[in-house]
Amino acid sequence: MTPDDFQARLRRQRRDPQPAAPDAPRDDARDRGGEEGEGGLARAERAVTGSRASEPPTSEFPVSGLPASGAPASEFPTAGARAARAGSKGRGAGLPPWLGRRLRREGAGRAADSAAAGDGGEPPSLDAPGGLVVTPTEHGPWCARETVNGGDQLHGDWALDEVFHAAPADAVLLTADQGLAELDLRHALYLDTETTGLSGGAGTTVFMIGLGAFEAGGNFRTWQGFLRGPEEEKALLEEVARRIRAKRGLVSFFGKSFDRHRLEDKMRAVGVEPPFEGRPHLDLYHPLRRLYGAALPDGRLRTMEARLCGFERVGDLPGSEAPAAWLNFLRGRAHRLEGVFRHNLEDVLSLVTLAAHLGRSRAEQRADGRPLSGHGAARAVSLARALVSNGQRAAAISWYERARERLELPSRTLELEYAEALRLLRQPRAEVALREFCTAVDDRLTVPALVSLAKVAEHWHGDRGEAAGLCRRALGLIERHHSGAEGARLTRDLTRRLARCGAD
Amino acid sequence: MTDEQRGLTSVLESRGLSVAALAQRLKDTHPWDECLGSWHTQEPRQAELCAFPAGVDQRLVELFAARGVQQVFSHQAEAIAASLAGRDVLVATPTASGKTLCYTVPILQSLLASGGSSRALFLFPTKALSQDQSSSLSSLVAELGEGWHAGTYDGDTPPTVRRTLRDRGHMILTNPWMLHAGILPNHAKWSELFRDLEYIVVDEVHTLSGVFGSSVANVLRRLLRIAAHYGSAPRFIGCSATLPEPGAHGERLFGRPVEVVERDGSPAGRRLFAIHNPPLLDPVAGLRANALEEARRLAPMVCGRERQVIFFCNRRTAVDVLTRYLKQEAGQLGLEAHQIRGYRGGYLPLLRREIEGDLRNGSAKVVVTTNALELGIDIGSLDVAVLVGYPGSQASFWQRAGRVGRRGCESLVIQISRSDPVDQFLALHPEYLFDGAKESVALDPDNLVLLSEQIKCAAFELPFKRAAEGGVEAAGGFEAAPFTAEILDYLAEESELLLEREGRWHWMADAYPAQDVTLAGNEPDNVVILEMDTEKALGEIDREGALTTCHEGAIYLVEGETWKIERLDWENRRALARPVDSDYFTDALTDTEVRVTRLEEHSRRTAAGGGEDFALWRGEVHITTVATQYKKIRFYTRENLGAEDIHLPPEEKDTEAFILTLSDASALELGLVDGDRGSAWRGVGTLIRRVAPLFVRCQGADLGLSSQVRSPHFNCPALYLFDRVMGGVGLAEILYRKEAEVLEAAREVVSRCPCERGCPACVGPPAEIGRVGKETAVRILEHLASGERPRPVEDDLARDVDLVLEDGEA
Repeated sequence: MTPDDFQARLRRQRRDPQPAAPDAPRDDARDRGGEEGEGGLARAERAVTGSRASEPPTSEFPVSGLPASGAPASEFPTAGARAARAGSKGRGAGLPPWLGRRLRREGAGRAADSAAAGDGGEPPSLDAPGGLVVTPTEHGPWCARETVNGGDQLHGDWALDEVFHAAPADAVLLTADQGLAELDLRHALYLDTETTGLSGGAGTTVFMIGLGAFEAGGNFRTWQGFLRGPEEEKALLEEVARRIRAKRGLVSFFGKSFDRHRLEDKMRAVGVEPPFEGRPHLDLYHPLRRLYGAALPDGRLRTMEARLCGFERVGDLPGSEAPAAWLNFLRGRAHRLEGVFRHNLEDVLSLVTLAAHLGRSRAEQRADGRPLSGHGAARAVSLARALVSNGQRAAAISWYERARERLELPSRTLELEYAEALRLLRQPRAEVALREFCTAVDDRLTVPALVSLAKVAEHWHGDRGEAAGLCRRALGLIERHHSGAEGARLTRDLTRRLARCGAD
Repeated sequence: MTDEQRGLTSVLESRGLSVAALAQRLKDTHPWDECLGSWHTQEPRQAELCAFPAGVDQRLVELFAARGVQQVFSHQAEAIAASLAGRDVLVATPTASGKTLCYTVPILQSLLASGGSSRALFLFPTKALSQDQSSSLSSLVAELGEGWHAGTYDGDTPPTVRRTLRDRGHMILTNPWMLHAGILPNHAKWSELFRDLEYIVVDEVHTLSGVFGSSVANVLRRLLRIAAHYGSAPRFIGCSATLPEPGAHGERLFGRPVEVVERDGSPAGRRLFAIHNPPLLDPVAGLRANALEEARRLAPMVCGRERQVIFFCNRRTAVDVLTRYLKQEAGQLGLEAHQIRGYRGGYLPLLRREIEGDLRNGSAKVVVTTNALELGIDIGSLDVAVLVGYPGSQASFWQRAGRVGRRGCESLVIQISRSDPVDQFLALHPEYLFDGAKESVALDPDNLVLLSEQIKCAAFELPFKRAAEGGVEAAGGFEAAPFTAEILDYLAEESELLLEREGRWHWMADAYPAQDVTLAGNEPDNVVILEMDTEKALGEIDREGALTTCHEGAIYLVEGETWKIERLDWENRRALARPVDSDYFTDALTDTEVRVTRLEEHSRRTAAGGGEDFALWRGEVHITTVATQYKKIRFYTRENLGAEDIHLPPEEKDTEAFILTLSDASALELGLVDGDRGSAWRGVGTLIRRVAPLFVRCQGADLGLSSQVRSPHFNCPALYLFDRVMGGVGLAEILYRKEAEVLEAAREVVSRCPCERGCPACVGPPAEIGRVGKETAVRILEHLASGERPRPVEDDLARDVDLVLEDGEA
């Protein structure tokens, strides 16, 4: 078997595929199932038909070794050590011995494998996290920890309460979700969850739900509901549903596609009415991707919080290791759980500053006048386009102009969009711009530009002869730059136009 | 008049004859009079009609009356009544006896009675069947004037439709794989379905056998458990071909007793059967004329404008080769080439729909197919069926035969025997086919390996509860399986996939087990064959089949057209082909290596002198299969035009084997000595493997064979017959239990074979087994089959073989 075959086999077998594209949020697997997807199956199908990821599947085989702190090996039993004990103790001894062997062969001790993997960060705590408060209810207890941060506290280089100056209209513009007009970021709930897997399905557990909100005095309080064991699921989810209902809207990162569905599935499974329907929900991932997508290396929360809000994590436990940390806690190895609480809290705080950033995108400066970080040209282009698709062409013009100033190299696509916006606004400079555009270079954008010029000639000046000439010129270029269906469509349209204009 | 002229005359005269007259002409015409024997007649059967059972809604009675169904057949009435009375039903009647009605009526009735709130789930073994059914159910619902939804849910269903089906689908038509990996693990999304699930229809129950069937039985346990969680208690309606002991099979599959309906009340015309044994070409070698060639020669006699004829082949390649032959010779059949169609699983859905339509409306006169047309796809009734070789099981034989026989007309079924020992055995013993069902369907839902895999999937879906008295609480049938609690404990404590808290085992791991657990069967891990330039899909093929039919250089045939595979992109499961005008087709050779990993049972016969005579074993083996090279074979002449190498990764699997070892002393005594002994020993294995399907319900291809004259493991001659399915279906176990019958059948075939020194019908031609190969093989089989049976040996088989080997090396 060649190494390639081996890789292929691993890819087919692995549980968590690598992101197919580097711009995925946290882990691309989250949106693989799509809004309503059945993650695991979708992936199974993709494994057969889809394109292959380029990275090797490192996640399948965690690096073995001791925790970075150098704690004694005996405290962190390895899968191998447990497997060695398997034959002699444990209830599984009731099985026919050959079956035990077979089961063991088929990949036991998965959860524990990553227990010993060093994370390269700060030394893990050996204690279970403190500060947990247990609240009894008729469905059993739930447990949570609360953290209060001052509203003026900096998270990266943004203060949390800067979100009070965010313009909701910017979020509406960039999400095209009119429902967000009612979202008051001062009274919203900032939601982020930790789950045992990204595939979804009934067996995927939501074990931590971070819900942050501003208090009357301006402080920011994060409630982190924590599942100490499966038996507390219903009580905890009830409390989560109650807290979501008590607030007027939600802010999350990729939560419309992921967190919401994981919570809804679990709530339905244990008989809790899901609270999401009809509630404004700002999923920051999509508008921020739209705003800066081209200028960001990927769409992960970590990338965005660093580039847009200046927040760099120190000693963070990566989100991908959170499931193992919790699964180990369940089995009496709580040493990495504190890291999960902290990771989740930082996620929630980043939701606040990212929402603040998003709400200043058209202002392009913070409330105190400091300039907004992030790629200015990408932002200007995206705002211009968003305004165009929202029917606000006049407003888009100034953003196109800013974009043209900021781009280091002129963009033909942008020039044509700009000229088109001008033409549709019946601005005479459109004609000048289009003429320049068509004379400068001859490329695949020239044909549509010629079509626009033909429209100008025909409709603005009533000059059918000129229009026909432009159509002929465009028809002559089609073959060089356009093929297939697109070429056919252009030819059809131009021929029709030519017939109309060239009639006399 | 020469033979040829006589043949031509009879061909012309046979046109326009009734089937009965055609049969008579075959009996009278040389050479058919000599080779067609074992005539058998199934007398016509009158329809047993009765009214719809009491209690069937008047709206339904009117709906069916408007479609021309005023009365139903007795078995339909029986099934409907039992189902309406709340019982689980298994209808086991032949093809085309109207099984669909047996489930349609109760389901529509429950929808009417509940005001449209009840739901039903249908499981079909193929996508084509579910699409077929979904359109006919939809049209019934539309005629009732109700806004109920019936829809297919499979990998091709677009996301928006999926959502509609989940929330508002009254009848969901899907397949076992989709239920296993898509629906059950996401049951919260399907809560509407599970809350009101009233019926589960399982179609083509006889195909649910072996590993696949046993896995599906566990998927059904999972389904019942989820349904119970949401408060519903669905009933089963199963449909099957005729089976021996249908009740036992149904009970194993559904996990509870079923009411069996098997007395067929549908009418049938007289059906004639004949077994055609091709002439001996070489009496010394025992070589008979090629069955496919015989089918081609028979075609002008049986085909014609007035009749519809179906040819069944056992291999995909054979379908396309025969289609090509018949199309080229359409004129001799009195037909146009377009009236002759090929049909098999890998064809694209649109093409298949077109062919099915042409068969129903009568415009297609000849269809050449595989088992793809064995299942309940509606193609109407045809007139003549030609089976090119025995399909491997009685159930298949009768399903195929069931494709012919119009009401009130006679029909004809001809089975052409191959040189294969099973076919030859049946030519000698036709009563085996006609004296009732004998082949039991292997199904073992409690197979511990399958069970533990399925328990993982089930635990992911819902926690299991420990019962106060030990074991687990009621869980769709898992509670009745042996070791369920022990497996759960193991998964919790050793695998750490589960966590037990307060008497419940919860899934607690970062994994989606349904994705890793296979159901076996024809899982959709298919290779798509694309036209190189346009990337237009030509067809698809399962992964294992692709190794031998889509390697680079292979000739791929679609309805007789030849394509050459230029590139096989194994990773992406794509094969790129170019149209070529090829005068040959290709046949790939594979090489197999077997290594013993574990032995579980052992029995031994002691020789007169006190030492060991021979021994039987059952255990686990590791198999490595690699496609090595392919031969180019010219159409018609079957001339070998040369061979080339294949470069593909090996397929590896762990499975179970039945092993026969012969002591050195006995080997010597029986003349298994140097020189030809390897081939003679292999000849014995070939023969055992070929007769085994008579005793184990499987296709010959389900069993693999490996022979070693000096096994490195046993240090003596050894034969391995292993389960080709990953993990094993239990075929090895059945062989181990039935060794006496299997060896006796093998002995009988070889002893009765008229050849002198071996032939393909017994141990193989002399070229393969050597000069004294047959003689030696006969002696060995007579020795093995007669006398006292081996006795179980209580030795320490529990040792890991790998450790034993290490000891040996030390």
